[in-house]
Amino acid sequence: MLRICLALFLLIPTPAFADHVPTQTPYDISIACDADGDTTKGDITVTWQESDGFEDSPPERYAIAFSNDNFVETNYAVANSTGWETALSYKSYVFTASYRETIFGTTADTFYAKVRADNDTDASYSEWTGIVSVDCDYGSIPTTTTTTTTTTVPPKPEPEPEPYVEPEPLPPPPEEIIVDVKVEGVDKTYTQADVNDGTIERDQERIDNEDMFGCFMTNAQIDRGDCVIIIEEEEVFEDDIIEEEIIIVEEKVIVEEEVKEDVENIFPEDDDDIFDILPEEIFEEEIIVFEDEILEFEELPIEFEVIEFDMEDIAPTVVVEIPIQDEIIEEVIDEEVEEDVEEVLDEPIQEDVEEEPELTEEEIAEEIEQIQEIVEIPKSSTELEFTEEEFEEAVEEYVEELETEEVIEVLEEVNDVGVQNLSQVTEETQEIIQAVVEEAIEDIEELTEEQIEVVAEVLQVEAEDVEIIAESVKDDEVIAEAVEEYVERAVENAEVENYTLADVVTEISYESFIENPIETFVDFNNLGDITVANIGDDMTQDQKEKAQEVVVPVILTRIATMAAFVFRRGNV
Amino acid sequence: MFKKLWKWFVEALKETLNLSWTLVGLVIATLTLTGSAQQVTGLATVITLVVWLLTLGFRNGK
Repeated sequence: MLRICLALFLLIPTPAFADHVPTQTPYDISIACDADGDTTKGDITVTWQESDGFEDSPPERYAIAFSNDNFVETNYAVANSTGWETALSYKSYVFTASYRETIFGTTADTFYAKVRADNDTDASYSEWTGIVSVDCDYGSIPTTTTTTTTTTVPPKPEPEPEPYVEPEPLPPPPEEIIVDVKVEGVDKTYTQADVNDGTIERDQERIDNEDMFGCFMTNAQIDRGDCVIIIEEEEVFEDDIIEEEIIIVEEKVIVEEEVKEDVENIFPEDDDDIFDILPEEIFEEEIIVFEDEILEFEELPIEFEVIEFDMEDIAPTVVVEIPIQDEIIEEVIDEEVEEDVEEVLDEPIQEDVEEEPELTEEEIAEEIEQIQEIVEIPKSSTELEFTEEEFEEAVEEYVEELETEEVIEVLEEVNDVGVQNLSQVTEETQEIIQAVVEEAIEDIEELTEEQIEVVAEVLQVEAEDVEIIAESVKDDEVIAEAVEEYVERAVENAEVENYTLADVVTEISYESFIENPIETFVDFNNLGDITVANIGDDMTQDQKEKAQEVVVPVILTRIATMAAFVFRRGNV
Repeated sequence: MFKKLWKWFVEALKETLNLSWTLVGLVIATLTLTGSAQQVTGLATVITLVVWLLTLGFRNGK
């Protein structure tokens, strides 16, 4: 008994608890000085491996943090312009000597780096990788010593010390670095690519929306309704206004220089009335005029630091510290999720359960009449009736001549009555409808979305699946045959509920297996095109659902087999 | 040699019969699938069965 329990415990498949995260942390980070073997440039290359691709929000870019004191005080970050491209492939980013000279003031030091994968669209960011470091002595000045000798022996000609070679003039810093922004305490450097693709604008939108609505989202996400915005009626109290004005007067000293510059732009130079005012009055005027602008700065939780740069610093840098509290964001997200769940639960369940009303016999008869009116059965031009082959040719010719709109009209009528109710039409009409279905699948590229939905309804599959079926028909004999025989088999199985194209495919697969079992199992066609990522992409959703239903019996049979095995062993 | 081969053949037949239920499940699964999924499942089933039978002696050896 114990052995049986143990066997059952081992046999019951347990789900693999894989670490499935929205955005995976990059793998296998490394750092190297002069990775390309060229010691004259002094480049430091950070290399990392892309994820295996099994993630909901693949990286749109990678943030590379860089420091020369293990991120104690210096913490610079840059972002590359390309995101996830190929599973497990390697990406790298080069920190040039000139860049290190610009931000650290030295090119010879121990440098540290770490990488993070970012998906801005979904606001999903991975963990940082571990920190890697490298000692790079590029540009260090070699130490020289001098010695004196007092011996009378003529000194041997000493080899001349290697002349000090001035390091090559550092190239200008990379043009791509535009702005350093501190987000969550981390410097974020935007590149030219970020400017081009609007990343900066989106980040700014997130910051603004975080401030206004408490949602760290872009305007597009806000418009889409991802953020629950609660509009509160604000009551204006005079006391509050007075307090703000007092604060503004205090802040005035800090922004004095900026205000003065702006005054020159706003007041016209030829405005004598203004320039005639005494200096004290001008000062008061300045406060009044720029009150609104200062108020705007007051409202933003952003500290602006003005950084002075030497003329040598070609790339201007503005550091903006944006204090963002992760906990608050998580709470907001949790609230949103809870509200969404409540909304879903509040929806009446009956709506999903409702079924289409079944047609009465009279209605079916009317629909059948309409179909037979639309579908013209080809007739022989001679007195003799068509043979079967001749009729098939005539049908093929007739269907080919049909316009796309006529094809869809026929299929709409079929949908009205239901494919499985076509048993009441003549066999000839059934054959024509079958040919029309095939024609629609063949001409899928010419159909509009609405027309594709009509075809999908006939086949009882999702609209997205019609395209997959049209592709599969070209190289899969089983599916091609299933489409050819769909109408005929649907009529034969009128009693079967929810009879779809997937059922026809399974039936034909079974028949094919009975005829030739080996071929079904050992089919090497297009085997080279199959990868782990695309297995099952060529299956319709309906087929996938039916296949899933088979998994349970497979597991049960496996358990039954092993249990029988254990029993046999126990009886020996 | 022939006797040894015959013995292995009988053992393989017995082992395949032991796997009947599993094989039935896999055959049904394969027939329900289409396209690349069917190819992979079918091929994997055949290869695994062949490996399973070829390693009979190795797995049951005392």
